[in-house]
Amino acid sequence: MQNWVNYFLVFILTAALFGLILANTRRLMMIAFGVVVLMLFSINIQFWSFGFAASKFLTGLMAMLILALTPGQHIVANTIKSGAGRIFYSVSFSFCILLVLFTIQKTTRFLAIGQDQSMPALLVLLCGFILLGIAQHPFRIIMGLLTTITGFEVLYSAVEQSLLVNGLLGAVVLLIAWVGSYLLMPTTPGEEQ
Amino acid sequence: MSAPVIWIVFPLVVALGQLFLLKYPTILKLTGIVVSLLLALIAFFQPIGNVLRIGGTVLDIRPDLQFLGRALHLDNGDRFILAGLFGILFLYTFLWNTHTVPAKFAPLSLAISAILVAALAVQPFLYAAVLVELAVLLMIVLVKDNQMNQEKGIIRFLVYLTLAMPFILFSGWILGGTQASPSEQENLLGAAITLMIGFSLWLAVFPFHSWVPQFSRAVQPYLSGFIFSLFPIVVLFVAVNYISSLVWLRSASYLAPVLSSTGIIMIVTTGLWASVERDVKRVLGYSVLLETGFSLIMISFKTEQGLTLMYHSLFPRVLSLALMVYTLSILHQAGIALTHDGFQGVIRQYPFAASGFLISLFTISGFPLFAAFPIRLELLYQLGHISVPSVIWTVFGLSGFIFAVIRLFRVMTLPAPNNWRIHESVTQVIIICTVSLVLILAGLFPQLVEGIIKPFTAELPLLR
Repeated sequence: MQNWVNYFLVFILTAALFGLILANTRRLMMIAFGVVVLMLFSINIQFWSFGFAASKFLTGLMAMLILALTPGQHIVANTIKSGAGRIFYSVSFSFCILLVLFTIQKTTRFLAIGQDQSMPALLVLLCGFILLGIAQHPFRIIMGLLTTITGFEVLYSAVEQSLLVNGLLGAVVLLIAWVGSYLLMPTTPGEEQ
Repeated sequence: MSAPVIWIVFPLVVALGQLFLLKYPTILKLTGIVVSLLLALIAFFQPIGNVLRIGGTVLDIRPDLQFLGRALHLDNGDRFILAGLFGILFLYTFLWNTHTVPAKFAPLSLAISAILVAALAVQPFLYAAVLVELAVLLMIVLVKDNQMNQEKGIIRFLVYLTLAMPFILFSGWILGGTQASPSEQENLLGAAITLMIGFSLWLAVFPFHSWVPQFSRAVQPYLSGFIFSLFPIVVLFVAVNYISSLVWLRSASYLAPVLSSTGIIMIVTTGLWASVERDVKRVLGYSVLLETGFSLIMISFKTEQGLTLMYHSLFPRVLSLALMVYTLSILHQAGIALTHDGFQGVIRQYPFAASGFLISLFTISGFPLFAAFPIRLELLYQLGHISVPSVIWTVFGLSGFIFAVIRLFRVMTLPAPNNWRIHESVTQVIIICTVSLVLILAGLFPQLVEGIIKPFTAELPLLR
């Protein structure tokens, strides 16, 4: 990595991703996602202009806020009831970390971007895939989708600098959060089919 | 005035205006019908690049529109899809029952159509991925019903279609930095794989198809029918356009076997699942998958006949799907459960709706005398020239679907304690009879439909 501080930031990011996967409540998931977005901003700002990095950061935070304001049940842990479930989630993500560590050289060469950005982006992307693959609760799935897109955005924005594409991607992130929030709204009681 | 202003900006502006009229569904329906019919007719009769005369006004329709440094381009090759897309919109707006389908249908359907046209028109192509994603997000707003617990089906739809976007964007980026030279073969293969995954997610190609039956089960049949009529067709056109614009991809030796094998797998698996399915809404989803499987085989021929066949197959596909969802909506509205149990003897109570539903299924399965029969026959004939086992597998898959149709026919015509009685309104009877008649006439006189469509398909991309 180009800057030693990024080791520290990636470490915090990884811890936050573990938190995102294992969190039991909506609030904990929000905090973990917020930390992820903040760490990505801290890394991106070293390589992108302040405005560009800040726009991604604000988009992530706004998406988080939209989801946080959705009324409904706040316990989202119906899929992780047992300790075995937590261990399974942790081991899955640990394998992903190993995969990233072993392939990072080749990935970095292929994408022509530094490890400082590619490593956190891949970790976030894979964490999103795990959430999408395993989670059953709609809130966790929407968070998984947002996490995946956030990880992809870092990789893609590093290689494709077009403002229009990046602007549209930002709009997509916000719309996903908005649509997710719309989907999570409780159904009218007594009229469920 | 440019073509994108007519077919993208104008419907978007109308959709925006309709949002202020949500309390007046009749006005929404009327404006929707007028706008969609007008746009379909202009696309049908007015060549792009020529002058359009409306009374004393003369409009020069140019093919390009510059927007934030990017181009939206619509030319005469796009008139077929424009006429088809707004024709579908007209059909669904015309059949829209304002009492059962929410008022948001009018503005959202118009906006979705306009955004999908923008996805077809945008250059460079990679922006299409983001535009399609925007359309998908609007589709979710369209189908979400606060009185139904439907998250699972819709979330799966959202996840699968959203995941396509990164793959398409990524392949666009690889291709942007790659020249078609032998030294770049590894990158080209990577681009082809990511592109195929992206399109597979959009088209619900095996093994990314599980959201289709779940989605059709979770959503009102009318709304899922609208989305299934519009979305896969637009994506197929985007895919054909894209493949035809990349010389290395359309000449790749692996393209045809991959497409035909995937198509056959889709037909076989769909046939098998449909044959044991008891939920009629899910059968609607399987019909869409079956049609997509056939479309993939037609593209895999990489010949003029194959592509022309695919363009011709869209007519019975759209019409039969519209008839199916219209009749299902009538039965759903009447409180009949859309399952085998609910459908027992239903033909005695709703003879026209039940017959219309069966006619649509007969058409999709390619029964003789129905509109899709000549197309299915020609497809099997062309496929037989390439590989006889492929024909056997395709017929096997189709037999599974035909078995499902026969099961439904048996259930619907079971003896019931009630006497024969017509519960449909006169308007419903007229609509069902007209569409059924068109499907039968198109099967009896296939040259008639071919004659109408042929001038348009001549300008469409062909994978030569």
